[in-house]
Formats: sequence, C-alpha cells, structure tokens
Amino acid sequence: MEKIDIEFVNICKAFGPRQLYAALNGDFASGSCVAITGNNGAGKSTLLKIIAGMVKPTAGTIRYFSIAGDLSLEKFRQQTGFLTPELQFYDSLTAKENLHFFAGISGVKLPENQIESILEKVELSSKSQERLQSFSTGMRQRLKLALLLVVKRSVWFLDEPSSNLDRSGRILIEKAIREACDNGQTILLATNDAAEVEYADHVIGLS
Amino acid sequence: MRIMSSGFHKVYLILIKELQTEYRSREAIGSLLLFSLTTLSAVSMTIGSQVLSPRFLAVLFWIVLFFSAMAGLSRVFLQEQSSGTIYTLRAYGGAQPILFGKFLYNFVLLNLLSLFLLPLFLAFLNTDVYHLKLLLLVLLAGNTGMAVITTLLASLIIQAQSQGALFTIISFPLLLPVLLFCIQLTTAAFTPEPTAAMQPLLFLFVYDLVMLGISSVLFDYIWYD
Repeated sequence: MEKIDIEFVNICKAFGPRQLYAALNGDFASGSCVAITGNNGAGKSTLLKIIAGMVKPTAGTIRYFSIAGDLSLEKFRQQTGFLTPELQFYDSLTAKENLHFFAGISGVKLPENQIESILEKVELSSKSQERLQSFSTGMRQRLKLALLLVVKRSVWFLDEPSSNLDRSGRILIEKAIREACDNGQTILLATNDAAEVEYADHVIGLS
Repeated sequence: MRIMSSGFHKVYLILIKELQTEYRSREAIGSLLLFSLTTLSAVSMTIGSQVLSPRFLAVLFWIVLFFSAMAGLSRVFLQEQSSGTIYTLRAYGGAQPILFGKFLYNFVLLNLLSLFLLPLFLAFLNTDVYHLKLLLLVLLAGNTGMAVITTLLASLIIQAQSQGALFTIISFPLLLPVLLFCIQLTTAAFTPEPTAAMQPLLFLFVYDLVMLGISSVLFDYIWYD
C-alpha cells in the first residue's frame, strides 16, 4: 500500500455569506489517525471532502505526497476510501452485486470466495444475495465497511463511521481502524463520538 | 488474489450494471416505448390513409424517435443523483469508464427503441423502404450521435433545477445537425431512385466521433468539479 502524506495550507471555505474556516493549516503523515471534531455545522464533513478532493475550497491549497514525490489529485483519488453518510448503494442490486460492481470500477477484480469472506467479516454473509431494498441503515453501514476493506486504499475518510451501528458493528469499525493503522494507512475521521475520538492519535477541533 | 481490472472491463461493468438495474426497474425503457407508441398512434390516426412523401415520413420518424429519446435518456445521471449513488460512483469510479459505460447504455436503449419503433412506423404509416442497408446505417449513426450528446448533457444538468426542460432545450442545438442529416438520409432510404448518400453519412459519422472526443475531454471537468 502506498504511503501518502497530506498537507493543507490556508484552507478557507464559505457557503455564500457563511464562512466555515478562515485559514486552516495542517498536515497528516502517512499512517496517522486524525479525528476532526466540532459542533454540528462546524464543517467537519466538508473538511473531509475538501481534503479528499471531492469539494473545492474557497481558497487555499492541498498537497499530496508519496515516496516518489508530489502526487496529483487524480492519483490521490485512486488511493482514497470512504465510509460517509453520502455513500449510497443500488437498492435493486444485491449486497454481493453492489460489492462486485464498486470494487470492479475502482480497479479491483476479486474472486468470489474473497467477496464472501469480506461479507462474512462484516456479518452480512447470510444477506449477500438479498437486494438492498430490504437492508436497514446499519446493514448498509456494514456494507460500506465491506467495500472499504475490499478496495484496500491508503487513505480512509470516515464520517461518523459507527453511526447507526449496534455494539457488534461498532466493534467491527474499531477493529478495522486499528488494523488499518497497523498497516500504515492514513485515517481521517470526522466525529463527535468520544469512543471514536479515542482511536485517533491526533485531534483537530473546529469551532 | 486481487487482479487489477482494465478500463474496458470498467466500462463493461457500468454497462452491465445499467442494464441489470434497468431490467429490474424497467423505468427508462418503459417510458421510452410508451412515449413512442403513443406518439406513433396519434400520428397514424391523424394521417389515416393519406399517402405521404418520403421527406415527410422521414421527418415524422425522427421527430417520434427524438422526443421519445428525450423522455428517457437523461435518466442515466439523474437517477444516480436522486438515489445518492452518484457520490459513490465519484468516490470509486474513474470519469472516463463512467462516461463510456453510460454512453453505451444510452446507445443500447436507443437501438432497442429503434428496433421497436421502425417496424411499427413502417406498418402504421404504410411506408416502403427501398434502401434498407442505408436506413440501418443512418439509424446506427443517428443513435450514436444522440446517445453521445444526451449522455454528456445529462451529466451537465444534474445540479440544475427544472432538469427535464433544460435537458431538451440544451440538447436541441447540438442534436440539430444529427437530426437534419438523419432526415435527409432517411428520405433517401424511403425513395426508390438511387441517391448519393455517402457524403452526408460520412459527415454524420465524423460528427459522432467529434462529439465523442469533445465529451471525453469535457467529462473529467464535469464529473469532478
């Protein structure tokens, strides 16, 4: 897995007259787990999207570095994985079909048994042939985690990853984050959950 | 074992996903077929047993095809937007495979619509085809052009309000050259005398290729910005 460092300088974001940040600076070393905390509307999720290159900042720059040097946004995007509320799957496809499809378009072709074992890991193997229409929010959250594990990206963007999950689901998330940190993956976590903040080795507070 | 999938495989996956979700929901194909059938019935009942000139028949055929296409082809991106899956596509899929996968899906839909519409049109309006090969080539070139342009424009309007109206309005100037050449060539196919159709047909294919190239260049900006 590629080691990626991230640096952002003087990030400003405004939605009309509402200014979220004036000049935000920071850097994340490869392998770090950073929690972004703040009240509702402070801009935690927006900051994640800005760093992920999904939303443009009003001003400021973000740079990505690999061992080989500067990394373009396009190359960086190929190394990012997400577990955010915006992520949605196709209701008319089964859990396995969704996983096959999104893994495939992200560039990973997995054999059947590996898909099965990931679904088993997130405790969805008994539901793998069911269409997502019948899935609860918690089950969908588990499927997002399954996709994150399948695509094996270097940088994870997690937005309240334990929301809607039961106790066993929360344990799965914690285990996945710990394993990712041990593998040297970078994790950016937007949360207000005290238990989730504990996974982080560095906290950014937005006011 | 993990195998990296190629760009062609990604395009194939997107096309298959589109066909699979469409097969299970039957939303786009249903509206396309019903719209074309209603329009064709209305035209056929109004005209009755009158004999129409080949040019008039060609105009009618492409109007029915164009408006039926407008009813369904914008869904390729609007549906992703309304279901929220567009974010997941953006997060994990590259722009080019998505563009070409969606274009191929619209192309398949249009060809299915043409296969459904053409025999009915010929029967209802008592039309003779004198140059079938030419007509099939015109349909191929016309459907390619319509599929490319509608796919690109569908991706452009996803953030806009009044998407349906906007889609038809901005499609029209780009589709006009395709429609005019298709009408001209279809008139030739409905006419018994042999006509020189090679040049406009070539122009149509070149226009399709140019639109495909422009779409490919523009789509990276549309998709990520």
